[in-house]
Amino acid sequence: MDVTKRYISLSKRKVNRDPITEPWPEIGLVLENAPEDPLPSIRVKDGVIIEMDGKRREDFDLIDRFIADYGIDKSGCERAMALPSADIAKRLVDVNVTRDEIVGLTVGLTPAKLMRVVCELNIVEIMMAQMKMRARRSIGNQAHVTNLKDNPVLMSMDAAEAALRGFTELETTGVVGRIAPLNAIALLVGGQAGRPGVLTQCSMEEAYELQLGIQGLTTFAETLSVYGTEGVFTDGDDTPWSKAFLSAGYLSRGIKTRFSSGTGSEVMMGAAEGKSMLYLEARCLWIIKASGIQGTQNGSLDGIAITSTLPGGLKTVASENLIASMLGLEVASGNDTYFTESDMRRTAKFVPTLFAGTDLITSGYSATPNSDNVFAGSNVDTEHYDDWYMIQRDFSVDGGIVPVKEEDVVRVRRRAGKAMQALFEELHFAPIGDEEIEAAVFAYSGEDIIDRNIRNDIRCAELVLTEGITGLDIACALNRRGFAFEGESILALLKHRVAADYLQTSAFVDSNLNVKSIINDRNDYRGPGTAYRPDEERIKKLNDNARLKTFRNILEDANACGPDGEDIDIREIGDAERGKRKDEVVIAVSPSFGSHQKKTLGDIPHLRVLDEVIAGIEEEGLRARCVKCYESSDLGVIASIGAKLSGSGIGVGIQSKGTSEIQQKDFSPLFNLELFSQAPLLDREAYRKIGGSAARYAKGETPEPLPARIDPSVHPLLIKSSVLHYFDTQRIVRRKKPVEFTYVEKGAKE
Amino acid sequence: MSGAYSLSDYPIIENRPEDIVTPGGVRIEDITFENIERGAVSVYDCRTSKEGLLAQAAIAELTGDRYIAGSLKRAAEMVDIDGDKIIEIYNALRPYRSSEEDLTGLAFELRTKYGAEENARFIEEATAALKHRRKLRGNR
Repeated sequence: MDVTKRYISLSKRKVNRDPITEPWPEIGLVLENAPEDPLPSIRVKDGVIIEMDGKRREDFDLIDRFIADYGIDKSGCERAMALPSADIAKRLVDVNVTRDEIVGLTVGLTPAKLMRVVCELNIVEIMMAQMKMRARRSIGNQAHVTNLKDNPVLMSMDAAEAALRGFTELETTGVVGRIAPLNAIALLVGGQAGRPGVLTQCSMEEAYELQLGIQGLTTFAETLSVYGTEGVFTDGDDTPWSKAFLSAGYLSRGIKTRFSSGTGSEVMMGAAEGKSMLYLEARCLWIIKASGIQGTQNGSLDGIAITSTLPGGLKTVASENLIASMLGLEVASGNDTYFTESDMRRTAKFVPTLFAGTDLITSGYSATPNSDNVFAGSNVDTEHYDDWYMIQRDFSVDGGIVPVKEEDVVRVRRRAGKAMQALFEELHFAPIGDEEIEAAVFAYSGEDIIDRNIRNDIRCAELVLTEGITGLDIACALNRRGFAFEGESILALLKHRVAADYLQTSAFVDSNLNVKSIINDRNDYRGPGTAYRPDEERIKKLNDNARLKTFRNILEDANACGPDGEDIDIREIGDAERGKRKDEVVIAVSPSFGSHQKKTLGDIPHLRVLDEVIAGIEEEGLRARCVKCYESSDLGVIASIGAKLSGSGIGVGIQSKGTSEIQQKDFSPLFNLELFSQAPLLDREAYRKIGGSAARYAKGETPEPLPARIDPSVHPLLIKSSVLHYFDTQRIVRRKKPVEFTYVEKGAKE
Repeated sequence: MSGAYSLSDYPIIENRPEDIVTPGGVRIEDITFENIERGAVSVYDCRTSKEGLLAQAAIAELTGDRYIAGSLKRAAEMVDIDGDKIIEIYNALRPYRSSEEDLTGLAFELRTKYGAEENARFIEEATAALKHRRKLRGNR
């Protein structure tokens, strides 16, 4: 078949490397409404659910039974289930129906019904519903902090930087499982150095993770996975009861706990039983709710590489987050797994959750380059910070993190490293050298650091367990060694454990070390103008950007001389007369040209602009005369003035910013012979050609128009162009006639 | 715990700290570096307290969240249970690990040794479910 160049180009786009599939219900590769999905139903008798989603109680599997006995609200379920799905869906987007009313209704809905309700919604409606249903009023975000070398120095610094940027929670793990206690300590210490109160986690096998929590080295856990079919649950060597029991054990040790689930996991485990992903996820979420666990990290997670291949996949992912919120759960909404090579898809993936706002917008923004992300890479990493900030700025949304100054990043990274150094000394761990700290402060990734002897670090990590080194030991050691700030924060977190305030739904610890959760920070969205809106102080932080300096410097920049200090000295001769010579071309410039502005948007000194245009004219055997216009800065007007003063009837108009045109005296100012509109693209050669063309017009020739150059990438300079034009306009002098001038290079010998 | 809570008591650490006595018998405000260095406060005092968990359960109930309240009550019963024991029971609840008698024994132990009534009932309910779905030891 013939191929077009456009198709060849399209085929090379990164998005075309992303795998895509079609539904295949037999293996569970189906988003929703699979042929095997049950019809929603409920029957209650004597306070016991005797039928749910088409199954009689005696046929219940473990999951059905768990949900029916501990989950579904038996007093309200028959009334709730009788409502048409579309009716419930409409209430979800109705600002007059409160979040709490919806939660009250949702706990009466079976998994099959829940799936049908959210399937009624399109993506914008899902976002509206999510905005209302999020548990907490304020939003948060979570970071992954890992490195391939399990280097505790670098890890503590990356934790500090992430905390400084505003992440609510930090999560690590270990490449080598045995080093996990050290990683947990790096996150604990580094995190507090960056921002007091940040919660930390070390993702490990369940019993191991519990031990780290018991020792006060971590504050939260979220790796308790649940699945939607009994088969996968059993393969995972768990039952709903074992998971629920263990999670209550976590709570008893003051560990904030959330479960993990997500569409696609049953497909990966090969036992989806022909059911749809969303139906199975609704079951997972019900298991979590029935366990009495406050939240979930869902939104496909690892399964995203499967869910995202199907049409509607990313919408389904957003709707699984919504189901969790409808059940009243805290949601850490995914966006934490690499699934596409396309930056546009990567962005589109997080937009619904970022714009709607969830309790934790990502359940793992990679606070290291993805090359160091031990969770196999996140959807967004350190490379995307500035993009993320810009999107927050563009849409006035709070994505949980704010721009920070590089000097502050350096400060907290070094502080984290020094705290670790002191702590390791106190604990008699393998020492951390000053040069290690300095290398890691400025490192891009683990590639740039000084390697440690990992066997020594592993031995120290094992000591943490065998000697039972606790968070309190760490707090005391830091306090003794002059890191009172970090010591106090860790102590405050331990005190919070005693009172357990952060075990309530969607809790976090703020910078003042106070707990916020659904109890004192409940989402109260009631339509426009209600619920969470960033306040003035927060908006200022969200909008800040180091590059604003450039904007503020525009005029100063324009006033500066050319790159080689080439400045112009304009000498006015007197009122410009109408020329009589047919061999002249008049160059007309705008009011601030060469006097208050010195170079073009393309960085060409005004001195050289005139030099080149004149040279171009003279090469054609004609002469040039320079005129400054004071009555207007408009290119059409000044070019026409030049043309009318010109003996040949041809003029060249040049604005201070460099935009130019060739004009003929009989044309209206809005028409012209040739216009050169993208000033940033005009180099010295272009100005010379403009002069040459103008001269040829003056000789009565019809030169071929100069080749058009269009480069969309200069469009962002429009703002600079507008500002420069504004300053040009400020120099207008009403009723002042055009003045003829000559010029020399300033400082040059005459 | 001194009885009724209202939502304005939250956070407990700020508004009702006097209700909390740590497992080591000290008050939250006494957890200071000074007291730790003096040996008056130990790591044992930084454990989650039964009172704290029950207070949180009461607060959750006030918001109508019986789910959170339920798990926090079970957690409160577990404060005095060893970590190893918790892991042992967790393992026992995994599929194909325990006989009916094993689980009944654990429920009995929870009830009599730890006064953990909620957890004991939870294990009994698990036993019935695992038996029904043939997930007990030897059922594979």
